[in-house]
Amino acid sequence: MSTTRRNVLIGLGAIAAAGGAWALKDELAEDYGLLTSLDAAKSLGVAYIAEHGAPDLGALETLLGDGDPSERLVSQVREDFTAGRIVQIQGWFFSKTEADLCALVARG
Amino acid sequence: MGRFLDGRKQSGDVQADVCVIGGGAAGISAALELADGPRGVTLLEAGGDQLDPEYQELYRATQVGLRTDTLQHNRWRVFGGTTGHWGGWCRPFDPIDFEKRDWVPHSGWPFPREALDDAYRRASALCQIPFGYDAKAETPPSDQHLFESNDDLENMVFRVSPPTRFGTVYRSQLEAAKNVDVMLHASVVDFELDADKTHLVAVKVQPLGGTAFRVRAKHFVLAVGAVETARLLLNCTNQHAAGLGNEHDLVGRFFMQHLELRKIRWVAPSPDARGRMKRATVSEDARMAVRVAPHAQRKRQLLNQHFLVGAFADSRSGGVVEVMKKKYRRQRDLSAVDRAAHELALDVDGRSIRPRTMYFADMLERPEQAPNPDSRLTLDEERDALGLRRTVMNWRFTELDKRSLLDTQRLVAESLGKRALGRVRCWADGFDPLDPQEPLHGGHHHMGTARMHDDPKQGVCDAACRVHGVPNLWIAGSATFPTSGYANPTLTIVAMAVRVARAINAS
Repeated sequence: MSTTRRNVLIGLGAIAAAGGAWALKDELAEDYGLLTSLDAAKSLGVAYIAEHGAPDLGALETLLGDGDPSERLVSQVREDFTAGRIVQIQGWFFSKTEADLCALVARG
Repeated sequence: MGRFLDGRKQSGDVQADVCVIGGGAAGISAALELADGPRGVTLLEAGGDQLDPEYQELYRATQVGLRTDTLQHNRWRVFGGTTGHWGGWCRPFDPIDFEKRDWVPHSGWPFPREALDDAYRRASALCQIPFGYDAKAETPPSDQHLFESNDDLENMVFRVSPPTRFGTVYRSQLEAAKNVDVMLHASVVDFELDADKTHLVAVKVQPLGGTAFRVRAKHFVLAVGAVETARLLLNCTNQHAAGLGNEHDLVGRFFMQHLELRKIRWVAPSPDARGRMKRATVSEDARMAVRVAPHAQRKRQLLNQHFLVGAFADSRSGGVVEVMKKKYRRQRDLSAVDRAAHELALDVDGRSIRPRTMYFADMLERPEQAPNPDSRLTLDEERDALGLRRTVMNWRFTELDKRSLLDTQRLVAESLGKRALGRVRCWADGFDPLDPQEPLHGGHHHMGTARMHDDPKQGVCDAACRVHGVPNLWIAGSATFPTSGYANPTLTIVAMAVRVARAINAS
């Protein structure tokens, strides 16, 4: 697994439940039958690209960088909202960073 | 002692010092302010004591613009007027509503908000509510507020009247007034000017099923709501071909309503988020809401607007999917992206929450409507049972309305997202408020059709609410509002009626 790919998963985990990963079948998935989070991210990513075109993911890949990007990502999401860097996907408003992360998953 | 008379039994003309036309919130408030004064007052109410379908049918109008609720249902032709089904929500217009804003064409009242403060106090008393609208005073000081004072959104307060049914609550006061007569079943159908056509000398009253008569007076106060005000003035063509007060083709234009949108879905990831929102929306004796802060309106060139948070559901009450189904009504609305958005909000903002519970709320969004001369009332060729031409309603929004709604929804998303308080969905499915086919819900708040402006070329009446060119015809009510604010208009209607009556008392 490439560093970027691994860090994507870590990043998703960072903005997922504390200590967990999106693909984890935790009580959320068991109790409520929701999609696993990796599938959710892919769904959002596909819709994002369809509505807005393929984003430039360079900044995100830099942010993912080396090591655990968890805190960096969560912080960046907050900064996105503060700075108005948000995108709308099928009516939902997301931070640019979380939308890009989903696009990265969708790109595979 | 004041008398309650029946216009259907009236024989001969009536003489008064002041003739108040309309027995709703504005007309009754004006009469109360004039009560026990030196002038004899006759208040004419088109309806009776009870709703009558035959009378309600007189309101029927044609809609050619954005569709809205029918007048037969949202206006009440009865003593007490539409307060008979008023919800009771009260709040003065904000100071910014009175300002001339360079990004809002035709904005600006001819006086600042402070000029109405005293009348607002009297209006609050008439609406049986305390005069106080300070959000900080209504919430515990140490509490966690959803929005900070320097945020682009801020908490604000509505007072809720019992609600006051003006016809019931104030009937005895009017009966006790030595100088007030109230005549029911007395529809005004025409105005008569003097030879110079500059002074109103009488109104013609035509009771449904009765004999016509005239009421002569020195002052006339037209207090019949924004739609009927325009209709009556436009129907008065005997002495002014374009209608009374319509020399500059302004009567009926700038028709405004409060659009009510339930298009914002909010998902909150934690009890903390839910608790903050609850504290921002509920108080012991007031209803809290959220508005766009004036500095944000100026910075982003937005119209004024507020939000109310609807009832919550949470994922413990049957599981996320079941709750979402209820919230979204139809399973097919529950797209993969909807599901993913809920999950993302839970994961990002609720990452430390155990057990993981998702809270859902619908937000009611109610914006000010931008003044728009092309949003207007005109007359139909069809006439009602009293011989008056019916109303054609052409309710229209502008690009500013649309952009302001979109940008404000974005503002809500930003404000919640940066505090880890969830995600919102707005306006999916191609909703477009400029599309006449879009089913919209108005708040029954009709305004602006005889707007105030000191310049006769820009307003039907002056700052004192006297019709330009006819100084003894006063208009009391929401027809005179140059802008609509977001606040329910009844309190301001009452305040303006009080102001008109005080001006007559002082004249």
